Amino acid sequence: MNKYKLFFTFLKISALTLGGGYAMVPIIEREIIKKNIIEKDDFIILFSKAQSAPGPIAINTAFMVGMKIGGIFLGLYYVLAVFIPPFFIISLIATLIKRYADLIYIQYFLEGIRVGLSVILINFLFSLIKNFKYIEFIFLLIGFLLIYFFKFYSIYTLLIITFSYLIVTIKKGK
Amino acid sequence: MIIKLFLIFFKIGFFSYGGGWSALAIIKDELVNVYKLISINEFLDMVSIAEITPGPIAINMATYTGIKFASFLGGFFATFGLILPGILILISLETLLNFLSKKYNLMKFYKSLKVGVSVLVLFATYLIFSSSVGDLKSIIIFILLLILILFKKETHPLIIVFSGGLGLLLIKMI
Repeated sequence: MNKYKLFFTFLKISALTLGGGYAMVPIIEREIIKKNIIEKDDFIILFSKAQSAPGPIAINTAFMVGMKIGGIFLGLYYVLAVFIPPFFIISLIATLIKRYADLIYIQYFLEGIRVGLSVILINFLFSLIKNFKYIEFIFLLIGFLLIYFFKFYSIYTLLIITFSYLIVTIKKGK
Repeated sequence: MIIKLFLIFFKIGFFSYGGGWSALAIIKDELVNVYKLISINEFLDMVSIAEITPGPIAINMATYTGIKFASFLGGFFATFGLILPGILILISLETLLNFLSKKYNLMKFYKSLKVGVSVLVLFATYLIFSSSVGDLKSIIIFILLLILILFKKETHPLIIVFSGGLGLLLIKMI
């Protein structure tokens, strides 16, 4: 697979995937692994890095895939592929339609989409945590409680959990 | 106005961790409460439009807001502002990690980062699940899709469209 042709894969995924970035990431993963471009474990590392920076997760993931196989400019090239389709679709919609969110059928369709998205997310979450042991689950639970009850910002929670887990495992390793 | 849009979305891009769904709260605060660019109803419309069109939710929101206030250029610069912080942070992060990986083995760090990132995915999953699955119709769709995804063992791009279709179909029956 030519790395420049992967542009069209990202273009296609961005143009066809409803439900936002989190719906796109598992589909990017599927395509990349199917095409033997990046191994699954490497993709998880790459996604973890993408997720530790702010901004749309699909954009960051596309950028990291490019960085991994060809450097910054290939990353930006893939970002462009994710950027183009929604930009033109929204441009069209914003100029054509005023209040189409009022249509009741669109609301029903949306309800279905949200349920679909939660199934995709659950599936993706399981692929992330399936090798976790009890210690990882404790950290996962603590992190969730920090965000949910104490309204911690995501970035602080990410840093706290990542580094406290790192310290605990390094101490245990010695 | 274009510069203002760029700066507003740069700020949003800088603070939005954890994917579009977690970022919606920040987008709402900035656009509705702080800068008063749009009303809350307009915001909810925008969310619906962003969801039923392909592509990352936050990108769609930025493009839509930008176009509304300053046409295509506005849409472009709002979106550009949104993705720029993440890209810059990823480049710095990757440079730092490359530097560190010459001295240390980073596998433990990546494993820790994965635990931290899983917390964010878990929270995003919780957010979308709790806002979508509740009544009988959504539970039926949820179970159907869960069976489908467990059976197929991969995330097909059309699954979201399919779930939207189920949302429309079931409303007639239940």
